[in-house]
Amino acid sequence: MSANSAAAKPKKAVSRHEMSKFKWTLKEIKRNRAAYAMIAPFVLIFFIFTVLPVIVSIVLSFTDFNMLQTPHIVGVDNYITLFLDDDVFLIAVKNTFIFAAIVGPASYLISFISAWFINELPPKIRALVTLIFYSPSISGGAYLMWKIVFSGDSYGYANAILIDLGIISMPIQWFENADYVMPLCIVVALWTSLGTAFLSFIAGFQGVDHSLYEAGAVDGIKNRWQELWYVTLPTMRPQLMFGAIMSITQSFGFGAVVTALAGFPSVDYAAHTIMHHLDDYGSTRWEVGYASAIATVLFVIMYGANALVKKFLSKVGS
Amino acid sequence: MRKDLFRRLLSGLLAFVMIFGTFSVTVFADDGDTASQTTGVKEVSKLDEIKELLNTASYADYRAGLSDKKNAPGEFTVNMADAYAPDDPDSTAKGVEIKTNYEGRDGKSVYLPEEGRVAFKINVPADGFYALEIEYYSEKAKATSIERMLYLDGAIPFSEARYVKMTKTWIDNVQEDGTFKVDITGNEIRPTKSQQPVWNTYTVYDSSGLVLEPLQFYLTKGEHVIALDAVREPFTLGSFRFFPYEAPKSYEDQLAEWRNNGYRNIEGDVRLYTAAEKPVATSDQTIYPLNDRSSPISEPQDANLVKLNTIGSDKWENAGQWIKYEVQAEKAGLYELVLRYKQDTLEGMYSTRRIYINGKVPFEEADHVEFTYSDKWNVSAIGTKVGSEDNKPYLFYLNEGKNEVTFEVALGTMSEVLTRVNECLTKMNNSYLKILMITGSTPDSYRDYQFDRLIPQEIRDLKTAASELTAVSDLLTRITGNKGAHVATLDKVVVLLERMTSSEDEIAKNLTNLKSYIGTLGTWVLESRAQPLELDYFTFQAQGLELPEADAGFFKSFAFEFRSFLLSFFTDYSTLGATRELDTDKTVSIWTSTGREKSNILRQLIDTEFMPTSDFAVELKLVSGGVLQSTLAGIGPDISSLASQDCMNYAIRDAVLPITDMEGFDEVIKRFPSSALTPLTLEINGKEETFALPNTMTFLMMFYRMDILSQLGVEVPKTWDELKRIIPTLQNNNMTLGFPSKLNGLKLFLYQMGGEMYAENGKRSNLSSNVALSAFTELTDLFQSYRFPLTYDAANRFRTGEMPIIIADYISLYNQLTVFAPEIEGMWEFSPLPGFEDSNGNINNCAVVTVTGLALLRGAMDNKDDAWTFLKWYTSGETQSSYSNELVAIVGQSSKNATANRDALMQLPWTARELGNLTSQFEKTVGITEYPGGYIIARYVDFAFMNVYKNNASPVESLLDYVTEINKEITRKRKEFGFDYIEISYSEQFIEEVD
Repeated sequence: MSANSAAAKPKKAVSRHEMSKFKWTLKEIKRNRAAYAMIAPFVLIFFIFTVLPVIVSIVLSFTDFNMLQTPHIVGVDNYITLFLDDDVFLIAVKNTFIFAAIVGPASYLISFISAWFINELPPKIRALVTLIFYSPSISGGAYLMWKIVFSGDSYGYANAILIDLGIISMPIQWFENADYVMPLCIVVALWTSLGTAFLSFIAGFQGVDHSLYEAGAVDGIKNRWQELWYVTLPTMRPQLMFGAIMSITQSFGFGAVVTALAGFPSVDYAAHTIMHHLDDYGSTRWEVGYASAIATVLFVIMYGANALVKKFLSKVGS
Repeated sequence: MRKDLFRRLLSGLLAFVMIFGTFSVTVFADDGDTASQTTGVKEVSKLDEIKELLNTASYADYRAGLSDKKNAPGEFTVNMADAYAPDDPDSTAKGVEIKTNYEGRDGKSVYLPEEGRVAFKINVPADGFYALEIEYYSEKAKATSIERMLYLDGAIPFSEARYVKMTKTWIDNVQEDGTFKVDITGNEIRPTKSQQPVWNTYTVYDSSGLVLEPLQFYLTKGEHVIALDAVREPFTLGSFRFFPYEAPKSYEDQLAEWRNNGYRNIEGDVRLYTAAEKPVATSDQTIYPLNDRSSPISEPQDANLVKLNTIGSDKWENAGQWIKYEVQAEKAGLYELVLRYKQDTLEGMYSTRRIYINGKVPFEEADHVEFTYSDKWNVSAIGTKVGSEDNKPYLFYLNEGKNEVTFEVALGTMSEVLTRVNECLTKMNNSYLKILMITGSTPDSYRDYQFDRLIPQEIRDLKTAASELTAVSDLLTRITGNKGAHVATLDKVVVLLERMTSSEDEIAKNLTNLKSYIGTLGTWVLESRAQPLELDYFTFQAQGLELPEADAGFFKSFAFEFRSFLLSFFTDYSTLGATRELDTDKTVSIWTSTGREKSNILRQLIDTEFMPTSDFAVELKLVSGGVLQSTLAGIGPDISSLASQDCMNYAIRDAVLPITDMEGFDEVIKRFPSSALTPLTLEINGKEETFALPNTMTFLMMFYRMDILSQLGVEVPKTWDELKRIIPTLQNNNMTLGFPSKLNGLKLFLYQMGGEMYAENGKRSNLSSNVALSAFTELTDLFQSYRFPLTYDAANRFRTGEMPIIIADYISLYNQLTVFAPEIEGMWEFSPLPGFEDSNGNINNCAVVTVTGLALLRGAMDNKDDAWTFLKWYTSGETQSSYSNELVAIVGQSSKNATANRDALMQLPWTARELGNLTSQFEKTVGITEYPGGYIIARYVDFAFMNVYKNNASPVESLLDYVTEINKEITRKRKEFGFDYIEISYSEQFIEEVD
């Protein structure tokens, strides 16, 4: 028996089932080492600058790190305070969701619709119009022009026009008035939102194989809507996915624009988002541990939202 | 749309402003006691004085009124020490001294202090016009010119006599062999400048340069009283020489005279080369050698190293500024004068210089030598006109041996242009005011106002102005040979004037345009007065010699640029200016984020003043931000400048070293007002610790427009009640007030009412106290009842006169106005804040300070004694004052540094009056301790303020709503850092009983 098996061993081919998963992986890595070597630089950079900070942040969220002194572990205290004893956080969560719920889908739709229309234009004009639509999001601080338009000075454009028309007599403090801050910020956010998602949609539209339309016509597609739903959209599902993720992260992570327009913190926390709350604790109060806890919560929320969107998108074309 | 509204809101005010805005006003009457004008009577007299000053006749009118009078028959000199009349009622100055054989001048002279008026009695031998030459000794003092107002028999004879400016003499501190110092890599270091007090003479000219010949006073035979009223700087007065002025001869006549005297042209290959960057003296501290890299043949030049090779540019552009050179001539004779220059600023215009040889303008043409615009370097002999071949360059006579050559900024033919444009401006202003009286500030463009019947003269004036401006524009185009953007401004005004005079309907429609164009034209006049010119070298050479090359060709330039680009990769710019190898072990590092120019100045100061006595190296790094991160990582600086709030944030986290126990601390802090130290001091573990030395300190002051207030008959308010009384007057004239809102406003009132921001040593806020609540109510009431704007552009509204009173941070607004609004120069000033008057009549007008501190960060743990030594040096009066003065000299008047050092602040080039006001507020300041959690107060006070402002909520309730939140946050923070705290519950609001 023992002699038999000893003789059989060398002959037997190594099979996946006979190795531990780890061993198998190592073996595969060895076999494909060229590919791994090629991807290594990216992985390294990605790990150091993206994954590691996320991990560090999660770890820090269990400490009382104050930016300059050695942190101490405080367990889940930060989370307890955050959920049970922080009124402003609730305001921030509310604002963030309002923001995300309006800006996320709206910007996604606007991106998609404008990409669809632009796709119908002749190539040269298309390039130009694309640039025009895309420019608000590439020209960094261009949204600051809204600050001039809605300046609280009686010489701000909006105030000047309204005063001149006799609608108001005193300048409105647009960005210092809790009633106006949120709507204005949403408008500006939409204006700047034709970004990466929009570009990827345009790429997606152009990547659709034209023979598919012909095949679709043969299969009985009657109008452009059906064409869009049954042919175009399923073909460009990866771009839709990418666009969605971009829109969501953008709308949840919206903060800098609001700060630039409405100041920090916005009056009565009217446009205070989770990002601002994070900033408040991180840079004003120098409580990095607590800020990390906020960041972790935001991370979880974004991740959840992405999972949800993935589910929705799988329904496209069915 | 916006423009329309802008103009409408301005109302008729600007017109008044513009009439006087075109004068080169510098400062008003100084009545001697600046800090203590408490009586109303005094103020009224000041208002009257301002009015009188504003209405003095111009020199042209003065001459016109005396057109039948002749030049005096002969000259006479008065030794002023003998003429000094201390008993005259006009003599108010304290500290006048009679000196004998002073600084090498035989006989008696008289020292005039920087404040007050001094009268002199002189005896005039004969009637006639006299020009005046002043012999004076410029005392070593601040870095500004001497300035006096000249009174003749108790009155200012004409407006130009208000600004008698005498320059000081500045020399470059070059090495003994005349070369510039170099750093270890060979870069030339800009030499420091020092004042060289010398006996000098000055012929009284119009300091704005508009009148080309010396100002001449008409004196009758007999005794007269001449008084000099101090504006800036002390000096010692020798004599007044009164002489009849004669214009220099024309070149033709002068040349004929020289030929008659037997002067010959210089023959052969003679070139007397003078490098322009090495003058023997200049009139201002700001005129210093520059490094020109725009041309590879500027002399000397290097592709990599910094070579100081030119002088002037925009540092040398105001009428009266001069640069003096010495030229050694082997042979006496007639030379051509060739210059290499660049004038690339005044497009379509020219820059003018007056040339003195050995103290005299040799001939009439040298009185106004013109340098036309070009973006390249030029080489030309004086006397040749651009574009014409057959011009013979002028010849200049030089003595054998040493000759003194001086180039002075003058306006030349530009003065005629400017005078004519000024006249048009006055006409346009008048017409504007007249039209305004008929239509009001917002004219109805559909109404028939019948202007032709009501104001025919003014309409005609506008027409004349249009044709006059056309003529000026043609003249300028003809002189310079092209039509630059600058001339186009005139044409635009002409188009508007022609449209307005073409039909009556157009007048009302374009009224607001007219107002803004009057402003444009005023700015134009100011800009045209600047006469920048950059010089590389000049040579006196034999007639007919070939001119040197003006600029390098394409390939040479390309090679130069390319080399310097390549070499830039190998240059360590951080060691720029270091004059020796530094010991790296004990280096003290200091980080600054103030900008390249400021850090260069500091570097230079360190090298020249600190390093010679230091046994460790100092590393100065220009870094923006990152102090926090690098400190956390342990690679941070030893010293950094931090805002007080940040500083205390570092301090409670053990990242800043306390300096209370450092050697000499008690002495060092005497340099600063105690209010500047308060925000940098905190009680930690039962011990008061100071964590930084104050670097800058700013506070609120009251800026006001003297011209507008005097026009409205309003006095400068001393208390808030007085201020409130004048608000209706302002608002009736469509004006308003600039007032700090939110937390800044609250701080202002709270501390003036004697309140405090915190109670119980910072354990809780004091906002629920009665005094805080009434301060807040007072503030919100002001904003609610008078509707002061929350957001406004202070400098702009102050300039247009829409906000004739603004309470603002003194240094930033002052600096901004100096450059931004030259047309209202001298029409405004800042004064201490109004305050609350208590029952005893004492006024509390303290201001709350904002401080930045220089802190020793925890990186300095190992070498904290060295770092402290440096810090002591850096915050000392001498260093701070050199630094601040250098800054003004190099970056300009708009970069006054708000140093917290008392002595250094006094040394800045303020006028005596400004200084008086500044000092009196400086000493009445309070600081607020930065307790942990302080940021929360700003936030919630803002919320409460906006709630009242927007919703008309009750101020008391709005503020009280947030008090508990604030106290909770403070307690939370105090717990975090182990301070003692009080538990806050919602039921307890710490409300005081109202008596």
